[in-house]
Amino acid sequence: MIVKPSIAFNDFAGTAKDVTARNVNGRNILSHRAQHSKIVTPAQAVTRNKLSKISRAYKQLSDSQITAWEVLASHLKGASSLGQSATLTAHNAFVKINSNRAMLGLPLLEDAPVYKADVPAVVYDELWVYSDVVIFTGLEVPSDSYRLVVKMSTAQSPGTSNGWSKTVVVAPGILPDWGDADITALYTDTFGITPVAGQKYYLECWFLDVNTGFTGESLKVSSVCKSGPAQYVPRVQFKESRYEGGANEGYIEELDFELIPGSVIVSNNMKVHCTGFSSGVVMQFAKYPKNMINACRCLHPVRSLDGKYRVMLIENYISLDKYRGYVQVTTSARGGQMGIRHYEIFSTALAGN
Amino acid sequence: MITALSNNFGAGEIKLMDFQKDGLVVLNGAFEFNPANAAYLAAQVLEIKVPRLMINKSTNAVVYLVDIENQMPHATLLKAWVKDCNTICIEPCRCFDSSARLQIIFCSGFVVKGQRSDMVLDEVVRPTVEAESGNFKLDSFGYYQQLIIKDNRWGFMTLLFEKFQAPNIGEEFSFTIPQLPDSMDCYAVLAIPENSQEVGSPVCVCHIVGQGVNCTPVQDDYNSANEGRFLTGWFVLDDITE
Repeated sequence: MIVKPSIAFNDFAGTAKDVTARNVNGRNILSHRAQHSKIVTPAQAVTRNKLSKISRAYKQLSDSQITAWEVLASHLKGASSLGQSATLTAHNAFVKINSNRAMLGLPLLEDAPVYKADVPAVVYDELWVYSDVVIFTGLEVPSDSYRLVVKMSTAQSPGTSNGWSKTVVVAPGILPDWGDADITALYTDTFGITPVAGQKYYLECWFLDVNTGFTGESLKVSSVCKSGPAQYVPRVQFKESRYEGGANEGYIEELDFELIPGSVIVSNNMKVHCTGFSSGVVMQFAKYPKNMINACRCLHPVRSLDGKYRVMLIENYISLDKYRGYVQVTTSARGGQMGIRHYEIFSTALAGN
Repeated sequence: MITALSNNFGAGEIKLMDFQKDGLVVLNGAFEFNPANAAYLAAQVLEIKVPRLMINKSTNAVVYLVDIENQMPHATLLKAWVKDCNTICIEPCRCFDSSARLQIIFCSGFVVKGQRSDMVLDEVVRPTVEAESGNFKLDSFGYYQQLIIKDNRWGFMTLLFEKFQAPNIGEEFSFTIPQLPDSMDCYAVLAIPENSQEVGSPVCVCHIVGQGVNCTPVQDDYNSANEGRFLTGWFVLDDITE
């Protein structure tokens, strides 16, 4: 222990056993010395096990495979130091690529992937952090083979300026949904709590190519969790119906229904199975955005799924019941080959009143 | 107008009227091909390569596949989408492969999802139908008749008939929609729901020029003045890309 006693200034500083002393603004402060818990969490155990397995697998490679990994390693860069990026060995490259793939649950790659181009950096329009939503919007995703990896910290004081060392992976690989990457549930699942208004959150993200395991430059951002009415505007998108059936009876096999703003365009993708006396079904959605319109209707041609490829016309009537708290979408047969009970919709239409 | 650079299913020249803006591409047009050609038979997905579109990706849209060799054309719907800024994809359907002449008709809106802004319902005009001969009456529930024209450049139309009967069997015929602009020159498909035992649905292929809707002939067995005939699709009025 280095002890600096001073009769004049009464100043102690240092550590002895489990006590740490320090002087802050003229005050001597004693506190318990932080000790590592020496507890390995299940997630940590899985990660360390994967890394050791991957590292051991390198020794099983043939000479030609190792040579290919050496070629790849010459294109990849390691962590930079003093302005210069470190070069990677073939073993480094093998472990790096395969640990990225393992994070997504992909199998081990024994043959080195061909290096074609850099994975692009993350570009997005907005990051929204509220207690009930954490989402990137407007992500530019050049290829469907790229997944977004997101690390995020727990709540930090808004006065901090660097908390990226406290981030952990909350999203090992998201395929953005038309530019949206919603990590709300992933954050809550990882930390067990929702973001707290007024606290600061640090995020680090990058793209990962699932075909090769290559990663792009990481992007570091931070955001204070906002409070009050959210300025975030969600998409008017329905993928889960809380209720299907009603007087017309039936159910939905696949559902992806979205109202696209501006001129209201309805994008309707669903497979409908009617079990009642008519060819329609009622759906109700308890979750809907605040900017939902009161009512609209549109008509779509649909194709039968009875092997005869016949065409029918259905009407979607979309209405918001604020009192009961749901959006109701009614699908009803209006023309064409009536009596089709099993059909699919994959159509866009302008909605009118 | 966009002219396709190539296709992988043996179709000849493909020209489509187009309207494009950020988040939306509307295409209207028709082209033929022979399904017996080896390229079509081998294609897992039909691809049309086009000059650069203003969108990189779209959700699904409808195109019509029409068996025009059949004296009474029959049609079904095909799923189409923009795969990238140079490629329009169409799912193949083999139900009419025994025919020698098939036609694909675009009256389609390709939309990018994930957009955010205010929702504003467009002003809807309720179209009417006039004809010197034949029996044409629109469904009395006016909400099923929709004509939306945007910026005098593109639009969307739906017609549902209570009665639809061509004046003569086997002859081309036409009727008028007075609300259509003079600049209209596009294709649409009018479905006639008769005979549930056949593959596809009987249709008239319509070429709409100005207010006139010119239809391919209706054959006997399909010309009863019944309800349920409908026409729905996107159209392009002007050929200027924003």
